[in-house]
Amino acid sequence: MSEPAAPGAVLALRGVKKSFGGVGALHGVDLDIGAGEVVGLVGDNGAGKSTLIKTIGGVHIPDAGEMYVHGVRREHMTAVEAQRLGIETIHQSLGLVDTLDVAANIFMNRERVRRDPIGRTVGWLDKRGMYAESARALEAFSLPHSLLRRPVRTLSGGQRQMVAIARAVYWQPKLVMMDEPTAALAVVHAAKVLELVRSLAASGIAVILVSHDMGHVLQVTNRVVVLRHGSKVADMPTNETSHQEIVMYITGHRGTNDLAAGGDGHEDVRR
Amino acid sequence: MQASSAGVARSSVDWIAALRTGSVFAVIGIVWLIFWRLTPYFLTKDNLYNVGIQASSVAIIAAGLTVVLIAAEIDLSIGAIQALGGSIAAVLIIKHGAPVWIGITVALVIGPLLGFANGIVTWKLRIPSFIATLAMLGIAQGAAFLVTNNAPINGFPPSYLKIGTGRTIAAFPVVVLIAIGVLFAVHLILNKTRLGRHVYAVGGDAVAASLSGISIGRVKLIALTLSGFTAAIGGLILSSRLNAGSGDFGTEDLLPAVAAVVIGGTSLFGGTGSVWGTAAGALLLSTITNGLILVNVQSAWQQIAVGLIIVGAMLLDQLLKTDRGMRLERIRVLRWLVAAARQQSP
Repeated sequence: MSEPAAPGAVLALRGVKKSFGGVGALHGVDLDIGAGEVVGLVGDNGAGKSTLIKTIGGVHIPDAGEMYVHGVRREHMTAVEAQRLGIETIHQSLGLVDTLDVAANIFMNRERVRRDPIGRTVGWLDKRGMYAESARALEAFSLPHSLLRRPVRTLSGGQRQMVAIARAVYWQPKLVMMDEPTAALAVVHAAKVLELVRSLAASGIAVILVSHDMGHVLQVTNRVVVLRHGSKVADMPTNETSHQEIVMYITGHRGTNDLAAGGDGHEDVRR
Repeated sequence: MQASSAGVARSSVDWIAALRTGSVFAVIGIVWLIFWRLTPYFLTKDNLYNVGIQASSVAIIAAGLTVVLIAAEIDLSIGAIQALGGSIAAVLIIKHGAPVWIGITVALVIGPLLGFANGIVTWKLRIPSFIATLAMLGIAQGAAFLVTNNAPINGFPPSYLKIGTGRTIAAFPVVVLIAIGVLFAVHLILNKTRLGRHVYAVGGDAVAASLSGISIGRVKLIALTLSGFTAAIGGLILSSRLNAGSGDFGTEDLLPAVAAVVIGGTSLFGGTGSVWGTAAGALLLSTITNGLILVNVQSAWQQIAVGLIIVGAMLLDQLLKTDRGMRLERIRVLRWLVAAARQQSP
């Protein structure tokens, strides 16, 4: 399990464990992802997908195991540090504050302050700069400038999703994690998000896509990783697997049976 | 509620907030007109100064409370901290003959310290601020009675009395200037600093704020500390106006302060609000109280009038905020106020 991280890996996990109040959520997960790679992270509800994403994003601190970002080991990484290292998360809840406007959300906890000494010490907001930059961020996703000063709660579901993605991309990430980005969207908007995933990958950004929609996963990913009860039970190239096979891993009709047969306590991992 | 998008430069939330604050000022204008018709004494300089002094006292302690409410917490201890601040100043300056500036400084340190304690209990012990500050209400009030030995201490030196009763050019009250200064400072914190942004973010959606790395507990700690600070300022002003410190001076200011904040359009459940709305709320309350006294209306009717204004303000919020979630929130606010009113009149 302690094979060294691949040199080109944006992110490498080795035996990452996390439990909450004695209940194990992740039981030693290994994962590698390289630049421009799209990894589909699938599994049943409670399999540990969101926990894994939050651990990578610094929201949770792992109990055990190692995390390497660009080959450098990171311990006790906070959400802010993860962001600084180029890891952006688009949570299922989107993580937008509904009462604040779009620009305020794009810069949330990364507000620009004025450069003068007073600005720096007091944390004086550079609102003009933030609006200008947010306008650029929206432009990149062909969202209208008129959204800029609107509170997020007045936006449509599709717009909110795009704003969350625009925020992640604005910060020039190396790895983008998307938790169910298409679940709440109309078909047209979902297709747009998938297209976006492809273009992110094409520009060299690593993407982890959590989704229940196998069609979407098969469409845009290079690899599929299946979690079951907090363990990785499969890690396979997308073009070598099928909808059916993935579902069998998710439901435990594969992988866990092999585990019982093998009896060595190690999961059957196809690479 | 999709606002028309063609070239929208202003945010719709700003627009609604401005309309909300503006409507309170409009009501103030109407009430002034009514009292002006009813009595010749209302619209005189001296009386308007009185209204301003009264409004300033409430607005100062309500300024800190506004920040706390925007952060989706509550501070029930402001009245008691106010009493303690005035009491400490009185004990130090009158009883022990300490210099005025020392009495003021100590009060202005104790206030935020108690607010800090509120914040620590809320953050680290995970006790809701409703309970934490209720406990502080008892502690601060008890402490105020202890230091004053259960009796008002009066007889401040003239320099201290200037805080609450001093006049500047054209006899303009110092208190009003202090209030404007406090309100402006809080306005700057809320609207021009990262901290203020975080206060709105934490109150608007604590989960989203914490996912972005904002420490919710830290933001709430600072909000409650600030509230303790403005309460202490209020205590100094009140003790100066009454020329005494006492354990029960200022304790009854909690509900008017909450009322001023809520009339001003700040949500009791966080995320929205402004300190200028609070100032308008305080001005409306003091106008009503002052005017009704001038036209010889029984004080019982004043309380009823204040209650009706609160309901009217809530109704206005209902009309301005059309989505269902907000409507449910307003119902909860009303319930809370009813409960608070019941508690006050046993």
